[in-house]
Amino acid sequence: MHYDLIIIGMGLSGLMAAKTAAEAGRKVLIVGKGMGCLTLFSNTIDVLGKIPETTRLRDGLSQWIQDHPEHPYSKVGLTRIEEGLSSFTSLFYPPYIFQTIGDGNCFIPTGAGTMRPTYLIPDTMVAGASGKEKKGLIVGFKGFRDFYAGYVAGPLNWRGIALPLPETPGQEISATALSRWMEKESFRKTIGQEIKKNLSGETCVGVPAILGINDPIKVKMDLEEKIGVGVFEIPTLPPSIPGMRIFNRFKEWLIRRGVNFLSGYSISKASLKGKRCEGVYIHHPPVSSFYSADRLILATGRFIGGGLVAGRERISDPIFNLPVRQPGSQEEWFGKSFFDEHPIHRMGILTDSSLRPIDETGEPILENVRVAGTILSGHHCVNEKSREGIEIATGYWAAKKAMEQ
Amino acid sequence: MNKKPWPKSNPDVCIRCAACMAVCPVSRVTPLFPGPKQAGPGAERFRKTEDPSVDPWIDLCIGCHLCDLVCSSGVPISELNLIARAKYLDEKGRPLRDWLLTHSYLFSGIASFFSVITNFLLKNRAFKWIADAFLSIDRRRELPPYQSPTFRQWFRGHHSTGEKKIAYFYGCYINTNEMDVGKATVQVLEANNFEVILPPQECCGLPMLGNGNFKGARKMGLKNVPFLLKTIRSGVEIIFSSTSCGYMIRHDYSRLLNIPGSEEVAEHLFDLFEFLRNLRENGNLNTHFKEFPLKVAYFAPCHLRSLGIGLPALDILRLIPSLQIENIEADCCGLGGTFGFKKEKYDISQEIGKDLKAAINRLNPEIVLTDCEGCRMQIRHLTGLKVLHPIQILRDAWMR
Amino acid sequence: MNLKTEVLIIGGGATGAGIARDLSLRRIPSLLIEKGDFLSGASGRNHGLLHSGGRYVVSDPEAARECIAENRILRKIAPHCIEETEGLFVSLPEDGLDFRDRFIQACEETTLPARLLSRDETLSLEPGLNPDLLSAVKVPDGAIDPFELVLANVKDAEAHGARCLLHTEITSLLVDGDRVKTVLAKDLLHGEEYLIEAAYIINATGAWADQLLKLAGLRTAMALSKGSMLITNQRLTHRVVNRCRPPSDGDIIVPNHTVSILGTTSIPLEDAENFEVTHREVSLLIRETSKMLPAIEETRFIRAYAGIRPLFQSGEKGDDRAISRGFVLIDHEKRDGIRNLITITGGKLVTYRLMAEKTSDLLCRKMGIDVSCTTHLNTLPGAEKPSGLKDRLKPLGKVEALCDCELVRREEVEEVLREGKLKDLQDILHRTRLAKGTCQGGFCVYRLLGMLNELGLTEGNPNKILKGFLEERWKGIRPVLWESAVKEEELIEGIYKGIFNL
Ligand SMILES: Cc1cc2nc3c(=O)[nH]c(=O)nc-3n(C[C@H](O)[C@H](O)[C@H](O)COP(=O)(O)OP(=O)(O)OC[C@H]3O[C@@H](n4cnc5c(N)ncnc54)[C@H](O)[C@@H]3O)c2cc1C
Ligand code: SF4
Ligand code: SF4
Repeated sequence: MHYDLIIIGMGLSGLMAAKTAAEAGRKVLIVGKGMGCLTLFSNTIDVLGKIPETTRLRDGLSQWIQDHPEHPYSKVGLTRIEEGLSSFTSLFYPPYIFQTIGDGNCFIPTGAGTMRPTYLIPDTMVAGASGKEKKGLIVGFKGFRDFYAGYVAGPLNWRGIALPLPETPGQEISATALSRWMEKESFRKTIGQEIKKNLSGETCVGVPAILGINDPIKVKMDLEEKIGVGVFEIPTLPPSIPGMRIFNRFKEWLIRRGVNFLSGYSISKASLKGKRCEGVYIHHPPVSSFYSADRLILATGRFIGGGLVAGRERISDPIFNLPVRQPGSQEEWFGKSFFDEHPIHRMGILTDSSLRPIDETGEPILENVRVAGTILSGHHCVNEKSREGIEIATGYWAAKKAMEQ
Repeated sequence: MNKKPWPKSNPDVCIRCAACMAVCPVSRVTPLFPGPKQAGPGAERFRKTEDPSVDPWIDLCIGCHLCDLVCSSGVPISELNLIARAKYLDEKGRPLRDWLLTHSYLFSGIASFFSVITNFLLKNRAFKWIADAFLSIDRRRELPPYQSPTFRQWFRGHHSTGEKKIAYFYGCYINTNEMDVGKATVQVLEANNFEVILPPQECCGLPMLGNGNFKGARKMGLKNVPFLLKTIRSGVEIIFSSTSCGYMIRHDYSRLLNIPGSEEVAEHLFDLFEFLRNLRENGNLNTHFKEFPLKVAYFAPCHLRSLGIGLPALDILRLIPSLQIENIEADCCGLGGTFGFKKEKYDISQEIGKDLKAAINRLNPEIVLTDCEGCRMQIRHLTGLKVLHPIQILRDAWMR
Repeated sequence: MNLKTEVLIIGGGATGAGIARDLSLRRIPSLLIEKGDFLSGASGRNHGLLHSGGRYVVSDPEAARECIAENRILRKIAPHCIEETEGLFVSLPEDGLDFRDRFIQACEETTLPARLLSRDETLSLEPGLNPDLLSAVKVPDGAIDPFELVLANVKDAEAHGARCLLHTEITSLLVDGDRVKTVLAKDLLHGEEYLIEAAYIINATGAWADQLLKLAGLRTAMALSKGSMLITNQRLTHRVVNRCRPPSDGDIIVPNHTVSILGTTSIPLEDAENFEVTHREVSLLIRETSKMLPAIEETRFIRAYAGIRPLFQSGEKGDDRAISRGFVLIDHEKRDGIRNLITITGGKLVTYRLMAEKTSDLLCRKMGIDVSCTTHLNTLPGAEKPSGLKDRLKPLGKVEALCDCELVRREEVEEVLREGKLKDLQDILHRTRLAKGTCQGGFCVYRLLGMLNELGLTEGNPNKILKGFLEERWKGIRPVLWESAVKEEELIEGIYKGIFNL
């Protein structure tokens, strides 16, 4: 089959690229294994959490771009970053929407009782945002191993309680199972009453981020009605239910738009001819299928996504074998302390400003391929708190540039 | 079984990320199943071939492959589960019920012949009670009615013509229980100028494989592959209309069952709509559709997703003018082949189904379409709606 | 605070714990003081090989004999700590068969049951071994869980009246004439100081023996050597695999629960506290062990760690003629004129009981009492417990597991907590298999802290403990970060630095 554009990778950057191209009416194939980091980390949209608390994001970003010419943001540019972000938010319609609090970062509580800066948050997290000043009750559930109310509440000087789950005493319960229960009126009634009984002067209630998969706002509003105060979600260990909601929304939209959505498969080989890629092979033993395209976008993420592979001594890109800028040997990849900024995280694929892969001399290597997402070099998305911002901005921009061609 | 006919997969690559836990339909509805991360690569570190199986919960994996599709590390989770399940069931012994459910091909010919009587029995409350009590087949489940004549019998009296030849692997269920799907397939292919031939064929063996009976499944594969090889070597490609049979032959025959010649077959075996989509790519699809104002919802079966060909039925049906078609946003139907027939699993199967039902209700369609007979059965059971194979709509939408 | 005891045992490794048990069974009161948790020295940092004696049979038959005898005893008194795996000494083409023949002969001479296996027989037992191997000799090696073993000794000792003080370091030994008169110790967690009066003092500090003696102005001729080991994510073989050649680097693979442990190296060391596994050692271990088991080249590692062994100049060994050369027992009365001090060091985990017996015998002679040892006759507590992997797998789906990788149940941790005396996170980790699996605590330590917090057992901010743990964990995994392990690391960083913003 032939496509205008093939996007390799189904994380946020790939999905954004697919959306951008589908909106322009192109015939698109998106193929990938897994859901990128969406089910792992992406509960909210970080853009640049590192900037000082009171800075407007816009100002923070433009300063950042000035100071970091090699950063993916600098390649995309401020205007396009903002376009990308609004393209992302436009995908969500009320009541489940993403919003900012003010014009800079906001702080949301985490599963470890810390506050973390982030930019766009779903409606289900608003009541907890910048909530240090508030007085909250944190509610956990016995048997749900990935969230501990007391742990969260302690450092925030709030109160935490763990509610027993009547149907599964002594057993463990997964995040998806709990989310599913949340979607049941009868379950909400029981826990709503329980929570209400436990309130003593608190003005909001925080729960792990499991307020349902399909209609979290309904779950939230119903709980709020039953409890009488605002309810908010707190991100915790993977899998991330809020991330799944993002993935599902993209998927639904893309399939409706006729995008060929091939989830579960990784590219085994690219077919290259000179400075062009003609298409890719997907190997699903014992069958190999070839998909050709005019242009391609590589959005396979870093190590987890499989975009970069760390051998014993070398790091490489397994699909196009693009050069990866890296320090010498394995010994130098990581610092001595876990909390160091490890050199390995800065390495990645070099590109020009239109996100085409280049070699060390700046020459484009493949003319019809663009690179998007965290696989790019020159950022440290975990420390910068910029993962989703980079994915959205570069996914958007890579597709735009690809279509200009 | 002394030497294992299955490949040993490497759970070393699991990074414990829990992405698979986000999609498993079973662990979403019951805490009794610890979920793919634990049941697959997690438990694998504890299993020793020489130790007896101690994990009865492994039998709750429905085999939907959804976990495999989201694991970015490439852990073949459902395969690990299947192998562990096979071992567990080999040791524990399989009830008569499982034998009956997985060998329905043996007596379906007779049942079709006496379909009036059989169908009476299958609907009969007393029979269902007996099935429930003695065979642990859940009595709340409708057993599929048998039809007479069978598809094969019908085809014998049908004269297929066309410029090129195409072979059809129709599968047991189409033959004895849903022959109209077979008929529609033949009619659509003929409308595209293909002469349809039916190579000799047996049950693909998936019901047995799904129940961890590798040996039985392999036996079926060893029977089918020579027939199919003969067909493709005569220059004729093969299509299937049941995604489950198709997945089995295309992928499990070689990867799990190691059946000689199966690789070659796989190269020339296509999903019916994948085949039609290819025709369209080359401008050869007959697209004389009439206005077809109908509101339908399409459900992509698990096995279709694991085929990795996208949603070809959706792509083709969208060509029909005024047909309102939406994709159903749900994953597994919960039936899992014979899983949902078993008394001990009926409730789990129904709980999974409820999520699908809710997704269908959100769309409120007149008809539901899906490529797998198991899903059709389950959706009928869940919603009471009319459920068809997409090829039946495609046939009806044709201008004659 | 002042403490009084008849016998002070310094060091809570296998030897110290073994002595505490031995004395308690002889009804001699003792107090054991350990600066960390039990097993924070070499006892918690070794291969966990239940020596058959094979590794010494050629070079040191006497040590081999000790192993043979102790191996038999341990199987009887501590079956729950042992997995009877058997061991193979495989000969590769480059090893030739000379050593093998000497090996077999030495086995005969020392009565070590050994059987020569052909190449095919060997490969049918362990299909993953290098198909070029020439032959293998099968011996009764096994795997031993040092944690279970030492803690069972402690439990028995305490049940018979011994006392233990953890996280407390001996800081001075004040000598007055021919005696150590007073001992000073300090609680390392809370800073409390103790003044201890003890009639007798046993130095069972292993690699720290020399350092401790310095406090009393004494010395031994002891050097330190580091041995590094790698842990694989999965158990690679069922049996212990040794190289059939004179002992050298990277010649052993020991299966242990869900994992295999590859060892080891030998590198001279100055300081018993600060050491790490180097890049060079990792490469060396992989290169050498993969000659026996080629899959090691591809396998995933989850941790690297090292233990320290004390090495002695030959003069030191002959001090007490009655004692074998496998370990060092010094009566400081004879050597230095200090009447109430004994040092016991060296040896093996497997010979801990024998070392304890000989030490206690010496002590009894000095005390002038005549009670004999019974540690080889009585089984250790817990011996009735089932052991094995399948018992972990079975209850899934019915219980709450805190640790996904090693399937440690919440109840199990609660039981450990009920036994009390735990002062920090590592104490809990030593007593369960929590954090010993694939993710090395990436998920479960957060859960454990959450649970401790629920029980009111964490003081202050649990994130401080969490961060401390992540740093400890880092030391072990940093040397083996490549392939899947790098992905895992990205995940863990994404969680703790990302989602949790620590
Ligand atoms: C790399 C390696 C691999 C090995 N493999 C095996 C094997 O497979 N099988 C086997 O049988 N043996 C093996 N051994 C040997 C075995 O581990 C040791 O012989 C045994 O553990 C020694 O126990 P110990 O109690 O004498 O010393 P340790 O376990 O080192 O105990 C000494 C304790 O004293 C404490 N201490 C030190 N100074 C003070 C102080 N001032 N105050 C209070 N406490 C103090 C320390 O914290 C420590 O816990 C191995 C050793 C090494 C190094
Ligand atoms: S099996 Fe795959 S998706 Fe599941 S935890 Fe392991 S790596 Fe993650
Ligand atoms: S195959 Fe389906 S039911 Fe089985 S573990 Fe995977 S997702 Fe769950």
